[in-house]
Amino acid sequence: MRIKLRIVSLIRKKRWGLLMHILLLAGAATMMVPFIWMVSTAFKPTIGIIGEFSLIPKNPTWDNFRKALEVMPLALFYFNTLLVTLVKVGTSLFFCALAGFAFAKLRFPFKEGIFIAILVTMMVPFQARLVPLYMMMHRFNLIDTKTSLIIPHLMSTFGVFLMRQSIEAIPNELIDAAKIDGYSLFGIFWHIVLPLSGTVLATLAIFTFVWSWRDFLWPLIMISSKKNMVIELGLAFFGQEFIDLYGPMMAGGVLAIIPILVFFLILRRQFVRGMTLSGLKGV
Amino acid sequence: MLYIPIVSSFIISFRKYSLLSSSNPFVGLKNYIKVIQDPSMAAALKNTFYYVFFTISGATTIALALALMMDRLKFLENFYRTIYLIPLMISMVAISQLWLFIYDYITGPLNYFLGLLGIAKQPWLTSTKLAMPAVIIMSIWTLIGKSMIIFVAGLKNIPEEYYEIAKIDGANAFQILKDVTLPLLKPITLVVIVVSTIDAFQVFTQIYVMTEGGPMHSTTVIVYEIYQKAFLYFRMGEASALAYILFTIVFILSLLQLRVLRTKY
Repeated sequence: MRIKLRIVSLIRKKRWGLLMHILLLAGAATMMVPFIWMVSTAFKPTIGIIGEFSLIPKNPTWDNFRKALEVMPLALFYFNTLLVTLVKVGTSLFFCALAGFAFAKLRFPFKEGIFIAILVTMMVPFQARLVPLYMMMHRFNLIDTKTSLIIPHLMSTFGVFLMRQSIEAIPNELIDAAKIDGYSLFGIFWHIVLPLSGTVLATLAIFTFVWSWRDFLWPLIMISSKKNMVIELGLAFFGQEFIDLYGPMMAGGVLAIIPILVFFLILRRQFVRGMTLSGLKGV
Repeated sequence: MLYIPIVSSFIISFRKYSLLSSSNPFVGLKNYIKVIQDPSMAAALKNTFYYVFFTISGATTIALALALMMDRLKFLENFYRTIYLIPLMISMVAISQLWLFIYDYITGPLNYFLGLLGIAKQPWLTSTKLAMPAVIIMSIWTLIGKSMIIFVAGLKNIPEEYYEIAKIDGANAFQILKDVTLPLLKPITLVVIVVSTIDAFQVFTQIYVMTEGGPMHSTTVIVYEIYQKAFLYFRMGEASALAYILFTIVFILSLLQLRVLRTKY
């Protein structure tokens, strides 16, 4: 009798296990299928798309890619996006680390108050600052320039917060020892704090990079000329040329996705760490 | 001693803002009243709450369920994590265009598959009744990964001992789930919900690409209206009023988030 019960419970466990496996695989398939369709459609000739619903295109062609590239100066978009993003990441890392260092290890009047003021800024959604920011850019004649994309995002409050938390953990003795050795304040920052913050900086870098790459609303408002567009914007703008012409639209999308996808697949671990941290904002 | 903070503060001051609640000339609360009276803005408020509620409940539940299963099975964990994260890394515009295609009435694969199951073709994005649900489904698809990795991290933090004690006490799998795992996940779940909610209130890109506010304002959302009013119609005052409302909502939610974090410790 006991053996029977054992076998029954074992089968029950196996059955639940099997069910979970199936569900997980089904979930993964649900995530992958749309992308497969995207690639598949990108290779289907426009004439054949209506009525053809096979996963593997019957008459694969590079035509759509050619059309997409004719209309979209993709290389230019990539250049713009890369330029803007790298600048933002660079300045972000530098200034957030600097500010984080100041708040973590230095003493100055109203330190707590200023920090709280900065934290409060974190709670303000970007859209609330949209109109005034636009007007500011207008006043400085920066509408429709790449500079206008960079300036509001030179650093982030989240970054400052993150850096402060991590720099706080650096033992004060190290800093005191450096002071005794005659390092200047900036020297301490550059030679001690920065190297020790490698992991956090990498995380912040990735977080900022992805955020900047995917930014849509701000470029949408700021940029109107083709030569200054970033990828998200360019894709949307020219996607409108391909309404109902899903072949070239999907081709454009594929071309826009692949580099970042490759980047992500290579640096998977850092991305996961970055996303977990950013999701746990403040923990 | 003082120059570094000054440099930092100088840069930080780029982020200070001045909010105009009414345009010049001063019109008092007129803009706020307009927000409620204007059909598209009122619809935006309603739609956004509707969107947030369903997207967050859907995405969080599914993410939690998946995380629990992944934690149990351990098999292919990295693969699943990567797969679910992909929509969060890549261009939202591209994803929106993809789903625009999927939802297409005639050439979209979704209607094709429904047809195979004997269900009639649906005019997803062109129907006032179906457009918002369609956007919600697509958003859930996109967002599952974000909550999921946090849940996975949280689950990993639960010490094995808790499970062992429960097993010794004779608990079966359901009881372990109900009385050990879920209560221990509560703080993380709350954080996830609040943070995702704040994000969800700011939805914009998919609306812009897929529906442009939807057939008859059925899918317009707060940020989309702000964009329209401010930059297409140049009605900065109204847009700012709406933006301020968004700010208030997000601010309250952020305070909630702080409260939740504090009780965690």
